[in-house]
This record gives sequence, C-alpha cells and structure tokens, in this order.
Amino acid sequence: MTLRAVALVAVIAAGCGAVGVAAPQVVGAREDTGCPAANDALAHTKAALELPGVRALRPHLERVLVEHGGLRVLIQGLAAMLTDVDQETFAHLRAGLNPEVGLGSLTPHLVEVLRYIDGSSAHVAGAHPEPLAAVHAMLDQCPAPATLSTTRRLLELEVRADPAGAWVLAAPGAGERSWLGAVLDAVRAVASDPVFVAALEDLELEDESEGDGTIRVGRDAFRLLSSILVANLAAPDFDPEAARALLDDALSLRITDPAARAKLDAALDVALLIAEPSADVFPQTQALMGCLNDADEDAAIGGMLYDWLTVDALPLEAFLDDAAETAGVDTATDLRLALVDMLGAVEARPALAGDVTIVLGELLDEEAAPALVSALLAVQGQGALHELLGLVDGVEQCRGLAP
Amino acid sequence: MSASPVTVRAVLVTPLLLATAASANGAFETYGADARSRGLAHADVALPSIAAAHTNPGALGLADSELALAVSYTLDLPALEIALAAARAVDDPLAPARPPVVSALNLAATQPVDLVGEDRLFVGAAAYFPTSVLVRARAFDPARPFFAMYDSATEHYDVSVGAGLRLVEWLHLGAGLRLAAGQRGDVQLAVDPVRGRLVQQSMDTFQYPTSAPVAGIVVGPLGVDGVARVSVGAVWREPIAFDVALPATLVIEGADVDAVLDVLVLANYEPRSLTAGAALWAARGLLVDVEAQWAMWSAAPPPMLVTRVDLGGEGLEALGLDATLDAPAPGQDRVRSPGYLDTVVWRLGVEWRVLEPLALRAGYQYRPTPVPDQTSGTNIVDANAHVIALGAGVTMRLPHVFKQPISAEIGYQAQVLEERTATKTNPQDEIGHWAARGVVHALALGWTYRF
Repeated sequence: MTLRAVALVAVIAAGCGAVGVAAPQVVGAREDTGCPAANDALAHTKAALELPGVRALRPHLERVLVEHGGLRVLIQGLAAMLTDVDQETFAHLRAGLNPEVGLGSLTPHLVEVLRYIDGSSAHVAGAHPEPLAAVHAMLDQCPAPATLSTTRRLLELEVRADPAGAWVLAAPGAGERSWLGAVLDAVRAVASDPVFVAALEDLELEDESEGDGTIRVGRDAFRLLSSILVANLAAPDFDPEAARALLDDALSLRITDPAARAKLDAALDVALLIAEPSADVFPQTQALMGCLNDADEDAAIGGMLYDWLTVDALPLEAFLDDAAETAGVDTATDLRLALVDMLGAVEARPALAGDVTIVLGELLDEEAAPALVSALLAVQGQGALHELLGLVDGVEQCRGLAP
Repeated sequence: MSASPVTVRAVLVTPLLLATAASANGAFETYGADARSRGLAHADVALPSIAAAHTNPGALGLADSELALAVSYTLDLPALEIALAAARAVDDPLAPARPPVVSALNLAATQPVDLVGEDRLFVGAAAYFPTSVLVRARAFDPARPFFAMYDSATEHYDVSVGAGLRLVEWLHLGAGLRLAAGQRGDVQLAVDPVRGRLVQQSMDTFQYPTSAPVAGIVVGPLGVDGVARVSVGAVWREPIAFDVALPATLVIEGADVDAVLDVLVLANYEPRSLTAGAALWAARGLLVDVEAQWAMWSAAPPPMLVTRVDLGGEGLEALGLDATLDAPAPGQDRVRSPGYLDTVVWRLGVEWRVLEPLALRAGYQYRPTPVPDQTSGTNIVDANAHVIALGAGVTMRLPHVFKQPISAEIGYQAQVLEERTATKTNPQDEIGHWAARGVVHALALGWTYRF
C-alpha cells in the first residue's frame, strides 16, 4: 500500500511538471561575489590610456613598435626572460615596482626628474631634454651587450667594510650591502652638507680645450670636471691616482671644513671603487665611460647632477633619504637582483640585446622622448601602475589561492 | 634590426569548450510522426501506423500486407513571447531568443518481408528533414532567455528504422533504432608571432553514425469486430543526442604557449522515455487512444555552452600564473545541471470515421514542463502545455493516376503554454523577472498510399 502510494505520488508529481520547484542557483555574468570585475579592476589603467598626454604617445608607439618591428623584438625579449627567469624573480619584480610597497617612496622624486626634463618643474626654469638625449645616444651608439653587462654588473656589485671601516668590493653574495646602496648613503651624507654645496657653486676650472685659459665656474665647471673625469676613465692609460688628484684639486682641497671634506672623501672612495683597475668590474666601467664620453660630449648628465646638487628647491635631500631608505629594505634588494637576472637573460643573447636597446633608443629619440615624458607625467598619480602590478595578487585573492 | 628566430615550446593555454545545446524533443516527439499523429495529439502508441518505426516498432506487426508510403509537409509556427520586467533592445545579446519557424518533409514507409512466413515480419522507416537546415545546434548564454522545448529542438533531421514481428494475431513485438550522427575531428594550428606566419594549419573532421535503441510491444487488437476491440501498446526509447567533438590546438611558438580548444556539443538531446497506452475501436467507426509517457528529463545535460579555460605551461609557470588565470574559478561556474524533473505526459486522441473514406480526428495532450522555476542566473523558459489537436483524412480513388486508393491527411495542433513567470531571488540577476506565454501552431499536410 505504501509503495503504491509513493508510486502514485511520484506519477502525479511528474504529471504536474516542475512548476513550483526552484532551479539550481547560478551566479550571474556580472554578479558581484566579492571580487571586482575585470573592467573595474583595470579602470584606472583604462582611464590613464585615454589621457591626452598618453594618446599623444600612440603615433610614436606605432612607429617604433609596429612600423619598425619593435614589438617583435620585445616579444622575443619577453620569451627569453620567460625561459631563463623563474617565478620568484618575477614576483620580486612585481613587488619592487609596486608604488605601494617597493619603489613607492621614490615615485614623487622620479616625477620631479621628469618635470625637470620637460620643463614643467616648479623648481627649475626651462626644459632640460639634454640628459635624456644623452641616454638616447648611449643606447643608440654604445654596444648593447657591453652596456647591459655593465648595468648588470653594477647592480649586482656588493661591498663590505674592511677593518678600517671603509667599504671595499666584495664577491657577489659575500657583501654586506650593495655598492649602489653604499654610494647613495655616501652621496646623501655629502649632498646634505651646505659646505659641499657652496663648494660646488664656487667651483672653478680652467678649460684647456679652449686654449685661451677660459675659466669655467659653477655649473659649467662641474660639467667640465665631469667630462674630464669620464674621458680619463675611458682612456686606455687611465691613472686612478691622477683622477683622484684632479677631484681633490677641484673640490676636496677647496673644502676647508674637515667634516664636509671627510664626507666628500668617503663618497668618492666608495664611488671610485669601480674605477680601480684591479676591480673585476673595471673593464665594464671603462667601457661604459667610453660610451658616455662619446654620447654625452656636452656633459648634460653632469649638468643635471649639478642642478640637483645645488638648486635648493629641488628635493634632492628627500630623494636621497628615500632612496637610501628604500635601498636598505629587502624589497629593493629583491628588485635589484630580479633586474640582474632579467638583464642576464637578455645579455646572454647578444643579437637580441642589440635589438632591444635599439627599440628602447627609438622610444627615447628626439621625436618620441617628449611625448614619452609627457605620457609618464600624465599617468602619474592615476593609480595605473599599482593597479597593473596588483592585478595578479588580486586575481589570486579572488581565487582563494593567495596565502 | 636582426630577426633572430625563437624556438621555445610548452603548454600555456588550454581552453576547453563543452557545449550542450538545446535539450528538447525532436519534431516527432514534440508533435507526432505524421499528419495523422499530429491530428491525434500524438496519441498513437497502440495504433497501427505507417510511421510505426518511430511511434512504436511493435506496431509494425500491424502493418499492411503491401508497401505503404506516407509523405507529409509540416510547418511549425511559434507565437511565443517572453516579457522582461526590464526590457532589452532586440539586438541586445541577452534579449529573449525567438524560436524560428520550421518547415520540414516527413517520410514514412512500411514493408512486409516474407522471410519467416507471410505477413509475419515487417520493416519500416520514418524520417523528418527540415527544409532549411539539416541540423542546428544552438547553445545560448546561461542568462539569455529562450524556449527550451521549441528553440532549435525541432530543427534537425530525425530518422527511425525498425522491424516488427507479428508473433500471433494479437501479439506484436518490434525493435528499432533512432539514427543520429556525431562529428569528430581536430584542427591543428601553430603560429610564429615574430614572423607573423602560420607554421602549421591542418584539419581532419568526420561524421560518424550514432543511434539509440527503441523497443515496443502491441497486444491486440482483441475483441469483437464491429462491437469493440482493444489494443495495448508500450514503447521504450533510449536517449539520443547529436555529439560534436572538434578540438582545435593552437601552438604559439616562442612564447611557451599551447592553446587547446576542445569543442564538445551534445545537441538536440532527447531523454529516455517509456510510453504506454491503450486504444479502443468502438462502434460506428470511433477510435479512442489514451496514453501516458514518462520522460527522464532529470538526466538531461545543461542546455548551454560549458567552457573551461586552462592556462598553463612553462611560460606562465615562470610568471607564477600557472593556475591563476583558469576559468571558471571555483564558485564562478555559470553552467550547472538545469535541475529538470522527470515528467509524465498525458495524451488522448479520437478518430471518427464518419464515412468510409472520411475520418475526423481530435486530440488533447497535457505536457508538464520539466523545467523548474528560474530564480537566479538562468532563464530556461518552458511551461506546462495544453495541446489541442484537430485533423482529418480523406481516401480517394483516382483510377487513372493511382491503382490503389490514396489518402490525403491534414493535422493541426495548437500547443498552448500556460503563462509562466519567473521571480528572481537575486537582486543582481542580469535579466530580472519575466513572464512567458504563447502558442505554437503545428500544421501537417500529407498523403498516404498503399501499393
């Protein structure tokens, strides 16, 4: 009887259809389940791409990447990195570039540099495209493998303190800190000293190339000094003692304050570690200086350094403070080493290295460079970089894969 | 710039498409296998029929002693509408889909085969061929409203073949096959993005036959001629679908990327069913057939595209993105079992032979819907349907044209859907509330000839 009743109920139920029975719940295509939609997750980036300053860059990107085949080269470069670089390296790169975590504190200073170049700085009048032109010339003229090699070597260079407390070069992995970090610390110490700044402003140097005893002062003298040093470093018969003597004559000996002089000496000591002929990195240093000597005949980069060292309004001190602080944290170290690995991947392929530097050089040529700087300034503060770098973490969190 | 070639390999992208399209009965099961069947509201399981290869292979044992042929033209006109609470433009991708008008040719035949005695073994075939497309497989986005039982359900060919055995005068057994096809193959592509060249491009695809068995029995007619005779019939059908499996592989050289695209379509799914009924031949040429059909809709696959994207490979592994970009992620799958319920369809058909050459027909069918209430995310539209049928058949003698009498048949059905509303429980549902209603007009014109 019970079985019959059940069967009867089943038949009747089947005969009544599925009206009144709820279908399984299915998430909607646009339903918010706690994670942002892709369009929302990239809203700032998409908005940044529509900014007038960025749109102005598009013709240049098309010229370099499409018409000149730059995109193919970048794809090859990316493929090389995917082959040779591991997951951890890319994770460190993402973390290091994240404005919120890695180089975040440096972003305002980098913006100031861009403003200095394009003439929109509130602290220095006029545009100063010359340093960027010098970099372009270096990319254009210098042998790419050598340039990459030098960059990589300098990034991975480490130092340790000797018994006297002075920094000396150390083998990779055996150092106490990076050479770059040590230089930043030393430069910060001397650049913040008004005695040193005054000495720079009072700098005088005879320009022997003129042949008439012309004396260069201030900025021009600093540029001349830079040129002479670079040329000396590039020379096959480079004499480190002579170069140091030149610097001492031009600067150190004119600083009477012992403390300020000590700071300058300390900065020069650590910076010139790479100029020691006995140093493993010296050949790369010399090659780089030779390239710089050819590409930056007017010492534009030196002129920019002078401006930043002497113009009170330019926030050099804050820049160096932030840089030194950033350099000391693990994120920056990881970023540095990630860049070393990535440069190594490209450096191992000389032809590709050459092509990549050509592409980068074209993006910095006199046609594209102003648009590139304007575009970078336009996207600053839009949140695009943070958004892009945080995308992977965001996706992982949405998937519940993040630790 | 130099153009150094890059040769790197591995698997990066593996998209998988599993598409299951309209899961609804074909034309034969929706309307009936010929003009007569349509006029009887498809109540014919216990009746002799030229289309018995489909209606009930057991009824082949009741076939004529001569070759019998039936041809009809059918026209199905849906007048259905889905009214959204929040209307959408006609060209909106999620605007309600409109079922198409379908016209088709139906062919049926029975033939005695005197292998085991005279008029003992019969074979038959029934076929349905749409006039505009041979097969349509359509799978909508899960959110798009569409009529599950009428959208593309009848827009595909349907072929049944069978054999029936007359064991004794009152007992007939039959078996047959519903024929379908599957599609398989693969596409191989490889691209060098640096050179901008397709370095491999090939395809191999083929159709293969598939089938689903059908078995039937008819007991009868038993009784007294001229007074009352009864027959009882039952038919069992296994599920059938049109399977398409066409994987495509794309290798992107230089970037450690392989994209494997698996396309699997289980189109035009028809469920397992058992139909049982009885027919009564009464005095004055009256015939009444009642039957019920149980359909196992609970086993139906989702009537939509099921897609999986697997991104992997050495390249993404190097970026730490190996499993990160897979879709759908857990909890994000928009395709699930539709939750159909089994149904029991009730049918009643009456035929009155007013005069010897003239038969009038009428029928009623109650078709419960297997589709549950759409409350969130999906919009599979269907409702309980009341099928009202009318038909007629005239037998004529045209001695200068045909040696034997020829019959002209007409059948009409109105499949009236009860109004059904969907009240969404999720305020973020993309479509929102809706109401559906309408009627499908199904017309058939045909003729039969017995040689």
